[in-house]
Amino acid sequence: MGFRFKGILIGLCAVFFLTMVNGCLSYRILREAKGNPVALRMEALRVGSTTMGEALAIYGAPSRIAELKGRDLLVYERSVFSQNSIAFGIPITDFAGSSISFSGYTNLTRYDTLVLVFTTDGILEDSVFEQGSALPYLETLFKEEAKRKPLPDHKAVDVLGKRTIPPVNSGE
Amino acid sequence: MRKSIAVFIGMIVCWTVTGCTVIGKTKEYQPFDASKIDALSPGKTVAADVTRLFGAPTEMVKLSNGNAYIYRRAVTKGTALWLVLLTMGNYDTQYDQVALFFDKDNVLTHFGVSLNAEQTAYGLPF
Repeated sequence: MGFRFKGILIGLCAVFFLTMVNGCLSYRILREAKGNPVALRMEALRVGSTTMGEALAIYGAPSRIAELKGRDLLVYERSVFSQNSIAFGIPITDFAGSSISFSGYTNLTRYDTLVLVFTTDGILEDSVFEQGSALPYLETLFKEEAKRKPLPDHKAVDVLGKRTIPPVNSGE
Repeated sequence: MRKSIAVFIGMIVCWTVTGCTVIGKTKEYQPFDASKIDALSPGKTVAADVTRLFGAPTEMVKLSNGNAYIYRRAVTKGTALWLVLLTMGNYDTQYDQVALFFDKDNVLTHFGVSLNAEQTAYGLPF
């Protein structure tokens, strides 16, 4: 008899707990990929000889086309947006006046990008490729960007580091 | 007692898998006919022929030595799954694109085609 009562009690507690938790605690995972896959076939590209027609035959139509100071750019891009969010709340507004709630989220967008730069004559001049989607989620999200060290005495140093350039208002 | 635990576990399992699934498809329609690409002939086809074949372009870009017309349409497939504590969503968008390049005399010099819209897929976010 005692065992049966204990079982019913556990069951009632479980139902109560799940009813409380249902809708008050949630975890959401969202992924949004946009764009055609970008894969670099580097062996097919030769700076100085590959033409725009050859590049288009290999990679297809680009996501964006732009003109930049006399050069033509073909941009192939795919973005992958990832979101993880958690929300927790206890609805006690009816008897406490306000509710307890907590939520947090992380958003990360990574890009696969291939940029091909062509001369006016349509010859490949430069190419840049970045495969952001291969980067690890957590490491990328929480990695601190390297902080740039301030130059000593606010003086700029030239490329070779041999000569210091005085600040604008130094009077030197 | 063993029976109560079994009932309790059964209830938790039922509760956890209770939910719903939604799948959806979105199309950004552009009525160009990809089968007409074979009619393009670099060095001969002019911009007017292209607009006659494919209609108005989605985008026109001024380039250093001419212009480019872009025709684009997209297909997005979304999948969402709601469980009691866990929600998962996945959206995938891919494009059918045709980029055509013209010289200063509006003659087609070269073009690129990517037909990926049909490769859009439903799925989970991992």
